Order: sequence, then C-alpha cells, then structure tokens
Amino acid sequence: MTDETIKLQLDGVQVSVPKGATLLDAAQQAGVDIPVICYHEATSPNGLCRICVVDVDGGRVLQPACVAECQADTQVETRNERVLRSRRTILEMLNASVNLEQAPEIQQMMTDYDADDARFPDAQLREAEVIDDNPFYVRDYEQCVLCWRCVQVCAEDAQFTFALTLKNRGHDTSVATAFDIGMTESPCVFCGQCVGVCPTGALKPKVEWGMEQGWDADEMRRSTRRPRKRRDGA
Amino acid sequence: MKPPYPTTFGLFGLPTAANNVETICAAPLIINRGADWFRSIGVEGSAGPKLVSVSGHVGRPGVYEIAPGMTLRHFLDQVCGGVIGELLAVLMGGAAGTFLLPDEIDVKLTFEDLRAAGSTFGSGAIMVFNQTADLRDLLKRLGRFFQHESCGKCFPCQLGTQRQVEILERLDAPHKDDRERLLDVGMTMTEASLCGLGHTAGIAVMSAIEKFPQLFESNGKHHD
Ligand code: SF4
Ligand code: SF4
Ligand code: FES
Repeated sequence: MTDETIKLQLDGVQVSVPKGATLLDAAQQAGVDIPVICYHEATSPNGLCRICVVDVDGGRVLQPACVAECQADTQVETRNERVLRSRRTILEMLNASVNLEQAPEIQQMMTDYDADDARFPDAQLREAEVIDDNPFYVRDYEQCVLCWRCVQVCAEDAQFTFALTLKNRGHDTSVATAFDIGMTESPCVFCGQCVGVCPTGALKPKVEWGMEQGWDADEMRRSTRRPRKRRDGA
Repeated sequence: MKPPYPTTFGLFGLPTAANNVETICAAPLIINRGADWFRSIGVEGSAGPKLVSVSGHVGRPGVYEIAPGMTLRHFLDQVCGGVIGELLAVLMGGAAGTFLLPDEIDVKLTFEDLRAAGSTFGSGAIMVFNQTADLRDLLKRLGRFFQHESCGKCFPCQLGTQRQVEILERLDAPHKDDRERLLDVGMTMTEASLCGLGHTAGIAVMSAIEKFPQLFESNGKHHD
C-alpha cells in the first residue's frame, strides 16, 4: 500500500481508504457489516464462498469484498436486492449440501439473511464418514464447507507441511490427504492449526469428539494416545 | 483471481491478447491482404468472417464460415439447407447460450444485433430444434454438463450447478416453486461466481424459463 488515498461511496456514505485496500477493509473502517465465510485474517484470500459480494456501480457481476480492491469514485452498495439474493441463495444452497449444525456463525447468517432452512427439497447432502485415524483430531467432512482454510494453514500460509489437499471436483470436491492415506502416514505433524481455523465442526479435537460420543475415561485415554484404524475399515 | 483480466494484466503483467484458432488464423490473412480487405467482409462492428457450427434439424449441419450481416433465417434456409420440419427453437451460443423463437430468427447475425436481441454468438454453436425435440431433455443434459464441468472452487457454481441439475432432473414432476428456485440459483451463479463457467452456467436455463415457461409447469404431475 502507498500513501495515496482514494475516495468512494459506501452505501451512500463517503469513505477514504489507502490505495490497495479491499472493499472489506473499507466496510470495516466505515462500520458496515459484510459477512465472510472463507475469509480469515491468517490465510490468503481466495474469494471462494462469495458470501461477501457487493454491488459496485451496478456492474454486470457482483464483487467479492474480501479480495476486490476499492476503486476511486465508485458507488458501492452492500445490501441491495441483488446482493441479498446472492447471499441468501448461497446460504440456502450450502445448507442443503452441508451439515451446519456446529457452525453457529453460518447459522446466524441464515437468520440475518432470511435464508429458508428447507429451500431445496430432495437436495443431495455431501455425505461422508467421520474419519477417526489419529489420536489428536477427527475429520467429519459432512460438516465441511470447503473454505480451504485448513489446506492453506497446512501449506504456505503457516506450517509448510502440505498434508492436506483437495480431491474430486465440482460438488464432489473434498479435503483429503494425498492418495487418501491416513493422517499418521501423511506428513502431518499434528500442529492443530487446521483445527484452529476450521469454521465448522468438520475438524474437531479428539477429546471434544470423545465427549460428544460419551466415552468414559478409559476410552478417552486409549483413543487419544495411540493411532486408531479408520472407522470405516479402509 | 479476476479482475484484473488479461486485456489489462496478462502475460508478464502486461495487456495481453488471448487468441483462439479462429483469430490466430485471421492474423496472417490480415497481414497479407490488409485490414481493408478483412473489413470488407461482414459489416461495420462485426468485420471479418465468423465461424459458426450448426447442428440439429437442418438439411446440412456443419461448420460454416459466414460474412456477418445476413439474417439467421436466411442462413438457415439458404445456406444450411433449411429447417427440417417445423421450427421450435434455436439455441444460439451453445450450452451457455440463449433460445430464439421461430418469430425471432429475422435477427441479423452480427455481434451487435444479436446482443440487442438478448442473444449471442457465444461459442459459435447454433443448435436448431424442430417440434419433435424434447426441450426438457435438452435442459437436463445442459444441467448435467455444467454439474460435471464445475471445478468446485467457488460456492455459487459448485453448489449452484448441483442444485440446478437436481431441479432440472425432476422437470417432468416438479416441486412447487421450482421455477423460482432455478431463477435464484441461476442469478446467483451469474452474479456471484468466480469465473466465466459459473457466470454462464444458468443462462440457457433462465432463457428457457423466459421463452418456454410451460416447460416449468407441472402438467398436473407434482412432487408434493
Ligand atoms: S475442514 Fe474446515 S477448515 Fe477445512 S475446508 Fe472444511 S470447513 Fe474449511
Ligand atoms: S465458477 Fe469457475 S471457479 Fe467457480 S466453481 Fe465454477 S468453474 Fe470453478
Ligand atoms: S469471504 Fe469473500 S469470498 Fe469468502
């Protein structure tokens, strides 16, 4: 960023921001709330979830506020009909594919944006078995929104371990280890950063999972000390 | 991440022309014969020859190089051997294109005229359907195509192409409000997706909703 500042209108109010600031930066500065799902301060933004879209000068497409830079003399609307329709529909479509029971922030967005919990009847849930293959955490990709944060902190954004990647594509996309090997065979060093940045219940410390399962003290000790086989027997 | 687009920030961070085979092939002809010769083909605004690929219910389907400016009707009747049977619809621009009705084919084949008619050359594909065509089946196939093509990176397209195909697959016995669902999904993919695939994944379906609303009515059959 340089010392140069630029001015733009945000919901009708003029704001000045340093050149290079994103629309999300400008909104935060102006006290305007823009929801985010994939964006995280500690990870490189990829503009994946698009829940943060805003309308810039009524352009042909909406702009993702977390990555789009402020342009001088533009009129930005953060809550018009177009924006609200996209946000509501993204939430409704996501809710139809992913188990969001343990994602309170997204639940709150569903309420804020009037999203219908049952908007898409007979939709295909992205089903997945819980993977319990190491003493430290479990992975339940049925709760994964594909924000990529775990993949990123495991790679260049923090740990440089590269234990996590993505497999398949389209709606079948899933986070996975390379060749789907178990976590203990992967390069994973069990730093826990992925668990820390996960916005849903998809990555969970083993102890928390054990308490949900009602494990007794013996089971808890056993399960968190030595590697277990994958529950699906693979 | 886009913007910026290659025209302003491409190779080595500089403005870059992205060519395809068609435009690359035009380059030596323009160099050898001059820009005036090239511009003498077609019309102002849509200068130079244009490749289109015609399929479906016409006498002579195939790839044609046309001089923009003739009407679609003239092209189909005089160049492509005429429509076989009674015309139902023309899908202009391929899987991400828009439908033209039989009374709309007097549109001139130029970029400007097509745009004004809410249509497009798009990929250059022109698909012709007569009364025997099953447009619901066509829409299902388009839905499967985009579901398969989505890379899965951004939510609107990753989820939207899936929701869209789920609804299209049950067109013969729809849920109440499936039309509105398709419009919300289509507009969200168009306006909020990350790349051109998602931006266009709902275009043909939304065009069908506008041009053939009866396809989205239940015919008495209902899921509910
Ligand atoms: S497991 Fe969690 S952090 Fe990783 S992509 Fe899924 S939701 Fe995001
Ligand atoms: S719009 Fe592009 S980036 Fe987004 S999922 Fe579709 S193909 Fe991938
Ligand atoms: S928060 Fe901007 S795209 Fe996800």
